[in-house]
Amino acid sequence: MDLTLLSVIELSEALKKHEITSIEIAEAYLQRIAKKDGEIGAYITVCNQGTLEASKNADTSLSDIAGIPVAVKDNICTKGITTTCASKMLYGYVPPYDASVIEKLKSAGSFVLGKLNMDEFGMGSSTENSALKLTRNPYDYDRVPGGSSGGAAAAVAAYEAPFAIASDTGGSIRQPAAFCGVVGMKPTYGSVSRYGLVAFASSLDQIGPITRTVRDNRLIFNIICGKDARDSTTAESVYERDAIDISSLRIAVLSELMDSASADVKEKIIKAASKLERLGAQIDILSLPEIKSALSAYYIISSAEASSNLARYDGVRYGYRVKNFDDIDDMMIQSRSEGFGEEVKRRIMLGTFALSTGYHDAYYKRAKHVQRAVINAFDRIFKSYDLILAPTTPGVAFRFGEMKNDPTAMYRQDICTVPASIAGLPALSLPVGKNAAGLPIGAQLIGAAFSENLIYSVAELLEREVKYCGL
Amino acid sequence: MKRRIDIKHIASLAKLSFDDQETAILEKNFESILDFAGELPILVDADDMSDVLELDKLRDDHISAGISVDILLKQAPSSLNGFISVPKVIEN
Repeated sequence: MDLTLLSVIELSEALKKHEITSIEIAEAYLQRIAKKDGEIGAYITVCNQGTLEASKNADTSLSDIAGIPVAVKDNICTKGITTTCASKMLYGYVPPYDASVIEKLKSAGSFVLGKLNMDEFGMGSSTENSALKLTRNPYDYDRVPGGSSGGAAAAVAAYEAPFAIASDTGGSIRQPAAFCGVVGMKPTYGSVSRYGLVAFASSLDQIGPITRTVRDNRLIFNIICGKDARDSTTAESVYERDAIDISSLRIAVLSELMDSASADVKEKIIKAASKLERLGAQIDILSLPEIKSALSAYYIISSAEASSNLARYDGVRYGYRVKNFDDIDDMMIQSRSEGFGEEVKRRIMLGTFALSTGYHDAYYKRAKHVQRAVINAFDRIFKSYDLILAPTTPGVAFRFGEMKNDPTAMYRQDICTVPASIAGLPALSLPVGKNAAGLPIGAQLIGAAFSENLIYSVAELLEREVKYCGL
Repeated sequence: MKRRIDIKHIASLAKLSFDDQETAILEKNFESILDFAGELPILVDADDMSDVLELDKLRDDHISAGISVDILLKQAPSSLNGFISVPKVIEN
């Protein structure tokens, strides 16, 4: 039996029945990575020895993920394991502490299999902005895995990890999940602690799971969510409505997001909608004109926050410092200019501009107004509807270099995912089919704040109906 | 209205430097990014902006053990006698 083909829940059941051991799981995954990752390039660091040692000591009675390893996006701090953000700036940085999510997973009996490639500091939609390596889409090696959590989605899709933990600022979990045919959840802002997540845009960043099944995703989410004294934005949330009656559900499909999608994507979303309708849900097509400005507002707000957050990389306390410099200013400027990649510098520049005297009101303040309008518009919809169904991406995975010359072409890839991000709402992407070329297509379920349980329940139904077949 | 973006000025605020070629590319990028992101409508009153995301919860201030100085100093590119060392900041 190839253990890498099993879901987390199947692994857990087999462990509890003593049919397999944690060591066998660890060995199976390390072998798979050794065999496959030369082609895919999902991992920046593989913890060979640490994984084997932890699996020997695993207490499989701790939880439903005990004895099962996790792969982690390389912007989440792991004690003693290099955390690079796929940047020259943090190359070789070894965090002296674990992120809260890692602590939680470890106390549940999981252990870190390795660290995953990404767009530098989470900025990008293809993982091409990694300063360290290229990650390929497991479905087509000439295409990108999406981003910024491209390594995480590719690793899970290619059976190089049972599940992964990643982060999503404007779509960084959902878009690669859609491109790689796996399930990715961006939870409600504040439901998972960001302590130990390297900050990109603090008011938007959120950690969530990437898995091969919806049930696995729910399992991991329930372990990592909850209040954390070290992240003041976390909430002690009440997740209601576990059991659902599909016939009482009202689901909205947003015309603006449908219009942004290619024909093959649109077709699968319509199919998914009609499956839900056949199960008894009421489906209505709605217009939400406010979200047309969401993408622009997102890039202003996230870049503004990034320009502030990334000011900490000055070559003084940690990270990259140039060897030769004239004075302290020159040291900082040169270290930053050499340590950061092109896209990161572009966003720092954009954010600095949007916050600078004379431009703040026209850009940053106005973007925050758009954010408020989008939040209000979603509030209005969720008064009459339970969920929103939308495409996750405008198209399927694109080819390497396809978006290289125009940064805004890449930014437009996030059009379907940023509305939930700037409104702080939970949104899950699950695979709902493939196009004629065999490339995965993802559907997104967006809910009101803290409606993760409802999203998972409907996603499980949809998953059962769609019968998506992975690699 | 044609915007004039002073890349050198923004770069100095951001503590970054660009050569002439990079500056030219950034100027072009800024033009297209601001065309794309700049035309934001005014949608709500500023009065409504007080609670966009509620970030007003503070934890109690308890003293707890932090990370040791030795471990933190290992992260620094350069250190001396228990301190992080940097080039001279103050002129004579």
